[in-house]
Amino acid sequence: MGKVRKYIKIEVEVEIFACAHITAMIFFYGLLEWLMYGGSVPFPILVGQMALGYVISWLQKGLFFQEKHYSDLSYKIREILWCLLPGCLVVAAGNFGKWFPNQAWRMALWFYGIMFCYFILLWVFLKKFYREETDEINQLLSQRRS
Amino acid sequence: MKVSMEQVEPGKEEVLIRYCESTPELCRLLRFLQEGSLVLYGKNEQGGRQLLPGQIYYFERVDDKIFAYTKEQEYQVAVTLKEVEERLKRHGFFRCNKSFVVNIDHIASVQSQLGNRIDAKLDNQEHIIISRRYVKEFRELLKGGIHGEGSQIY
Repeated sequence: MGKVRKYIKIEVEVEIFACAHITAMIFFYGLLEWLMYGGSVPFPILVGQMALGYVISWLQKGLFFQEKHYSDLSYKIREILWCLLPGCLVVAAGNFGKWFPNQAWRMALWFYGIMFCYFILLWVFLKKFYREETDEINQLLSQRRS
Repeated sequence: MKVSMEQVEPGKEEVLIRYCESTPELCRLLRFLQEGSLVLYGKNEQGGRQLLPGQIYYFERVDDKIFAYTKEQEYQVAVTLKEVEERLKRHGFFRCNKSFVVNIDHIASVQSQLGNRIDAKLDNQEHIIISRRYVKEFRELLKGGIHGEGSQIY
């Protein structure tokens, strides 16, 4: 029962992030489509972005899933992958799912650029968000040492 | 530090420490004198050796075997993780997730993470995850100091 509860918590966490990724993708894609072509977004693209958001969220979770020891290098590589791999997946999915017709390369560049920035900024935001708590525990740690 | 020894009559044994400032090293020495030393026996391909708690960074359970990690080596030890957790509490060891017991004295810094987990960076540059289940205990340990318990050699 404990394991089930643990996996439910992980699933909830993944889905919260998936929602954020899906919302960001749909919003920016829709905005660019509206600004540049004034058109609507086809349903298959929306479904593709929803699936991709969920996959990306699990991928990010998977990078730090195991509660084991990581070497400093391995940890840094995982952090970099956390930021960059989702952007690469968006590019791959965009090309594979034909989200952009040939003449929409400008929109594609904007969208991919925004999505890369989004994932990096999300990482920065999370670091900032937990900074106060981090500082507090580090202070306790240094108090213990002295 | 100057070390002096003097032979005295039975019943008059004592240890006097003269110090100008209390340091963690001094506290450890005091604890050692008051409670005795605790030694673990570990073995690896290069042979066996005795390990002092201060030398151990963390213990890991892998397939029901327990390994103790020092700065550069790893040793298999013949204890369970539960025993390690209980007997080494007062030496700053604490259970940080289901497979690890870490020495707090070797944690260089921490970083809070999503899902109420903590990434603990050790002074050998390795990272260990403190899972959400043990975060509260970790905080209490940092706030409240060290648990006390009897010492022994095993």
